[in-house]
Amino acid sequence: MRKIPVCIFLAFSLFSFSQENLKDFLLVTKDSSSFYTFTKKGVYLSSFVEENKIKKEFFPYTKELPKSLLDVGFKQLKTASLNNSIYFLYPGGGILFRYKGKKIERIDKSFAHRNQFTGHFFSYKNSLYLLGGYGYWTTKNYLTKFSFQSGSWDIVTTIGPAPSGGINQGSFIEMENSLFVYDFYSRPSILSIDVHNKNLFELDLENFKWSQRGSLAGAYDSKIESSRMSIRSPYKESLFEKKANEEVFKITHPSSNLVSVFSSENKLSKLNESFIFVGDNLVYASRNANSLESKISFIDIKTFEVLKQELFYLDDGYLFRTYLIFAAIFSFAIIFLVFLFFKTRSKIFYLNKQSLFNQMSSILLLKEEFALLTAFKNSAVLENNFILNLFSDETKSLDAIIKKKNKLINDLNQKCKKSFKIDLIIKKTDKADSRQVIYLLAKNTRIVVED
Amino acid sequence: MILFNSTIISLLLFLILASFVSYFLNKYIYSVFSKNKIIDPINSRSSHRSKATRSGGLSVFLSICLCLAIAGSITNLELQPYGFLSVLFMALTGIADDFFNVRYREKFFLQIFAGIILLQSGYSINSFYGIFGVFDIPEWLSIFVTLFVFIVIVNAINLIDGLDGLASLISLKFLIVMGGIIMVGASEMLLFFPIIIGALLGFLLHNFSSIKKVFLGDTGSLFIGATMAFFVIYVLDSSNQIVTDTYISRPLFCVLLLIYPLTDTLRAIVLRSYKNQSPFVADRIHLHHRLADKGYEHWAASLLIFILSVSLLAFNLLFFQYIGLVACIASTISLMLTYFYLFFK
Repeated sequence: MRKIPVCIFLAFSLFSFSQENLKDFLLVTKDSSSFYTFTKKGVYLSSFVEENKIKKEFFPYTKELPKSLLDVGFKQLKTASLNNSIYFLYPGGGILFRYKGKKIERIDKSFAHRNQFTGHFFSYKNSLYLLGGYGYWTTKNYLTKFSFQSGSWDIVTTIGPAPSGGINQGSFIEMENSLFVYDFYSRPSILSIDVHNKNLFELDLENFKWSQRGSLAGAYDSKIESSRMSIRSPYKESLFEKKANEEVFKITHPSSNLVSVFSSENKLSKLNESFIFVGDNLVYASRNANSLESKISFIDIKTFEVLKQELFYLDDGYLFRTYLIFAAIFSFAIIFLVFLFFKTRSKIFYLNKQSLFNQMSSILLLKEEFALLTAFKNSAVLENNFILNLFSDETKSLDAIIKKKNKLINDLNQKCKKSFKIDLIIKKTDKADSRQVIYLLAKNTRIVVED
Repeated sequence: MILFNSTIISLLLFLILASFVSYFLNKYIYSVFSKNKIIDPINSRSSHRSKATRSGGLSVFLSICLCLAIAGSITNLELQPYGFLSVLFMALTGIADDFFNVRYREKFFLQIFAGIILLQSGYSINSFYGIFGVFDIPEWLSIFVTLFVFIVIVNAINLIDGLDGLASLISLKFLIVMGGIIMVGASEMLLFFPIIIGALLGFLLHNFSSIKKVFLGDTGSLFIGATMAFFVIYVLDSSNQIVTDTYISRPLFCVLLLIYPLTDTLRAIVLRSYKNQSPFVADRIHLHHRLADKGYEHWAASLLIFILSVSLLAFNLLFFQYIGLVACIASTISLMLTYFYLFFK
């Protein structure tokens, strides 16, 4: 009887251990209707058959797992498919495994780089690449390529404006010859902090040329901590993304520049980071809290309702060109208004007892000229009689006074013409009485007497 | 589209607000300066013959601070704190200079200090973008180059402030174009641009006035110069994504934005050195003085320089993609020489 509790304890420990083992698995898409579930003991090949049922086959590994793979959980590996083989990348890059012929082998002659955690591992035209990532307290923006000949990783030289600060926790979408990179964080030096990059970048995989497509139109997390709550997976040529504790998910389509937001209707509450797309089926593993068993579930993504569609990114080039058109109109408006302002504004001449001046030049004045111009301060039109009174002298005849006045005005105009290029005082006949002569200041001219 | 429309509305609103605030603040501060007889003295080098105050810079600076406070509280405006601190430091230096005449050597050290504050923002000129075949440069050189560029731009703007409206119009050209880059690359700073442009427009009305004339003074030229220097360094920092990279090389773009202040300062220094004079001596050797001496009114000379400078920028933006860097530089120099012989000779 005493042995019963011990037996129960041992059995429970064994059960727990086996459950722990079941926790470590990795879902990998094989094709549009089947997927692999990799475990440490073997691999399950699951295929969707009629009526959305899954047919499951188990294949134990024909060779012992590499030692370096035993140290790390399957969930920590990044995967890529190439030529009917599945490749597993060790966390941080460097060590590479291949699943082919029911066995997993290490194929690299490298080491654990630990330099590109969270980098994007992908295949393109018979080659394997790893982009960006985080390691040794800084983010990286380089692209490395696995050499099947040497078994090492080489840095690929890219051209164009790469995300200079590095790419950490980014979103990646592969589409034909392009890789879209966005919603990532950069920490270019040890002392700096994580900064969210708000731009969409495109890497042309044919010629490894970076280009900046535009700035992201929607709201993305500015803090890396909240961004880590998101789970993402490629879905056809788009990206599925869902945040924990949110009842919506979004699918981003770079080709149509749209983000579709769907209501998850609480059907995806058990969704965790271990999920993949097989065709239109979202396949994920959920754990039962009572039995602690993991169960593979799937749901057709097409059954969800679109709540709204948003613009994915703003085309920077288009925005800037539109802005420049407005800027050009604004600049022309400034030029036109300044021109109009000065062309219609009165020309100001400043007067003091010695001189008449403006910004450009000045002329010396006689006492009589000062008196005459002072009279123009209050009125732009002066009658001949009024001006004659300014020169009244009982000792001189009227004829002499008239001559003196005419000479003075003529001399003053000549001086003004020479210095200011203007006839300051203009002689005219009075419209009301054609026998009368009046004197006017030149058009748009004002005289200001200095204090 | 909704995003774009709301942006345009807020840009227009703050442009109008800043213009009004600046206009009335300029008017008020002018009257305060006039009453207290703080008038710019008229001497042989003065371009003005009537009463004028050097209160424009202070008014523009206060208007911008007020509008930034409003924008900061009701919008998502975010300014780089060290960048703003550096600009603020230069504005305070200008105020001290306007009131007490700070000596040139002291002003120079204050400018270096402001440049060091600016470096704390994390922005620096860390690449030559292929000039002399050099791309990325070491950090010590980056610090040196950034400080040098900061001091050159601040002083260049200070030196061209010799005609009514000239410094303001050249600054407006810079700020209008830079606004587009910031709108795309760092939209959180975008509202700063309608505010500073509006403040300068409000000031321009007083600057162009014949009777109650207001000058930018050292406050304005140092403040605006430091602001422009900050944005030039922002553009030349290779870690910032700049939309114009598709259209034009970054260094050429920055030179074109500041083509008149840089050309005029370089020319003045060369001519003074040739005459065995100090490069910092005050005289009437500047290009804009030549226009004034040829009979152009101040507004006409300023407007002409503005138009010529815009035309050079537009030419390069339009043709860089087709003719390349070397041909663009050659064409720009040819155009500048043509302009010189047509208008300044």
